[in-house]
Amino acid sequence: MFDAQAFFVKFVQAMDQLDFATLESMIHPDLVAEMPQSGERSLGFEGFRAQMEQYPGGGVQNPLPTAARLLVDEDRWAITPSYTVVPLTARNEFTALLRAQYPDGRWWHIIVLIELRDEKLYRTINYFAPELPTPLGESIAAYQHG
Amino acid sequence: MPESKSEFFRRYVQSIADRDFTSLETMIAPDYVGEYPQSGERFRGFAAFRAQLERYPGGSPEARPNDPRTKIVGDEERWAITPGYTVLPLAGPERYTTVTRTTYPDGSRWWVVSILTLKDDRVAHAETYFAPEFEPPEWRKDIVEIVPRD
Repeated sequence: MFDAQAFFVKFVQAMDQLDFATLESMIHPDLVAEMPQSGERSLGFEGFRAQMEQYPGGGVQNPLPTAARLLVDEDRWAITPSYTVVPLTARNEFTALLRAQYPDGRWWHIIVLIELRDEKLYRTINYFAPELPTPLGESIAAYQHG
Repeated sequence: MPESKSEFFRRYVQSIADRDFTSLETMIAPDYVGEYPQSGERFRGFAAFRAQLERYPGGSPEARPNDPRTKIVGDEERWAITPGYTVLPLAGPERYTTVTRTTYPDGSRWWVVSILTLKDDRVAHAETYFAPEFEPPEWRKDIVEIVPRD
């Protein structure tokens, strides 16, 4: 069975190492990556790669794998009437949570809604949430947009 | 027909938008834990859930639960198939992701992403992120499409 957790760890490591050969092998030719906060949408591996390579200041210091989580529900199971535990069919939608430090030193949480197809990254919707001082409500009210 | 999980979460999001605390109290587990990883805050129980919504500086944000971009990603369609091809219901924790777009009192728009865990058909854990809208940066305008925002 396809191991989404292993796929995700491999993907994060490949990003961390800027291993574009591995990344290309894991990205579906029809990838669509959306950033609803800015309305941006990039297409395919080339769009993905260009964003990583052209990021001002040398690219994101990608998070350690320990800072990334994939909500894959590995602890889910099914039980037959005879109490046999059976495996699940493969899912193709996941939510990934990462924490990344950008070149200006600030930390952001990145939430990615992922859809896989043919065991490759097919659709992503990416949200970027800055770390802010507590209490969060006051920080949001005082946030300097720009 | 019993309420589906998708319907539950749409009602949950709507109840937050309406500040319908009577409904929300029935949807929140007694041992609820809410977390804001961006600031490291954690709060427990319905009273704290309610207080953090009611005390927002400058008034309550205006949620837009009917926005077509509101998303609920979860396990509604998960199933298991035995070797005999019997489709079985699942057991175990149920986790869903909701995405809503919110306008704050200062007019700024934020995307609110919550990872919600259900227990006994109530929200027992919420991990919520707040992501501000921003203008597309110049450096990548030639490598992306721009989808108009309203």
